[in-house]
Amino acid sequence: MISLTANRMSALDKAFLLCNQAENFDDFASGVHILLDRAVNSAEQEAHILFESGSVEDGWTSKIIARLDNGFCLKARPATAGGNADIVIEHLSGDFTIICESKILGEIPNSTSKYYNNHLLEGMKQLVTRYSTATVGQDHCILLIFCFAPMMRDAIDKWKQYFFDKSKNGTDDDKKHFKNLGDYNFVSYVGQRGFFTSHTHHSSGYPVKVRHVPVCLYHQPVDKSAKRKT
Amino acid sequence: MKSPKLKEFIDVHYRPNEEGGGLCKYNALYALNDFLEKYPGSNYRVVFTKNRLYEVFKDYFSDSYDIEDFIGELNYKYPFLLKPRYFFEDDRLERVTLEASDVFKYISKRSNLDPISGLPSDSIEEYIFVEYVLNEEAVEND
Repeated sequence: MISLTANRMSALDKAFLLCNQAENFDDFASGVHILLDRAVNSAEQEAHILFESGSVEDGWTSKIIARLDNGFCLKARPATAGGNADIVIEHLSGDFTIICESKILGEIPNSTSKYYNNHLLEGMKQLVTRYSTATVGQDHCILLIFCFAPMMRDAIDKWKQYFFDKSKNGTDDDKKHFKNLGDYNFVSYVGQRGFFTSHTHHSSGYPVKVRHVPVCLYHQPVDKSAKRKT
Repeated sequence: MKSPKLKEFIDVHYRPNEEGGGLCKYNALYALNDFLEKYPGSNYRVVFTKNRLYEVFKDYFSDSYDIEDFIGELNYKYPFLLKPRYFFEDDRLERVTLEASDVFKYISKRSNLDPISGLPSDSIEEYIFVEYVLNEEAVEND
């Protein structure tokens, strides 16, 4: 948001400089995270929007892409691999790529569909076994969590506990694909949204870093005016 | 008429397509042109604050994110109608102009040296500001 009190640099100004002058992957990733936070903030202000059942994940993903893909910081596009509305975020030079997988958590409004932590775990599996190679310049992923559950903070804490538990006590495949899972401190990012993890990528053997980014889309106004409209 | 060169620049680079795509941006830039027509000083020297641009553009976009995207586009995307000027200023009342590469060093944590004293500081980023001037190719040098 534009600060009306001062000529402070905006998130967009910072993201542009970090992406445009990036000397390494972390510079670019920092710019991406700043822009993603901005895109998520923008989406959350539209949490009242209802997409048709079956296109909720794609609808919100498209909104995030539209805000990210400004044509001067980076390129963001829907991924076609696997037919899902995931996001490929690329440096304008093509040197760096970040893969982003979108998943729903909670109960979609006006629908009987409900998604739990196992759905997010599927997203993690897609990210690290289908899309990411975890090689140089591609070792950073994002799990975008469209949270329709109330108390998002608790829901995301529970997801983190579930994910760490699966990496230690899950199936053999879970333990194999999320080996050495731990918290990751991405020092260049100073924002507060979500958390970072790192684990050994089963294909490459290199660490793959994942940012888990919640988007607060629970919208159930209970004031009298809102109730009259429903 | 004070700014025929700017009008030409807008018409060449920001003309809406046949389907009307880009019309709100085009109209927003004409609002900028109107603002400059009424501005008492030379367009060549006018310096825009973020707030001033927001006021000029606010009627043409649906939300502040769109306005900010547009200001970003004018600065960072061809044909670069605006040029950002970064500077450091704190309560010492001394303004230090910064190049984009200097700002990058601060926000990427490659440097924490105070631009005035040269001593390490943790709060430099808080005192980096940006303002905007028009691309010289778009305005008369009067």
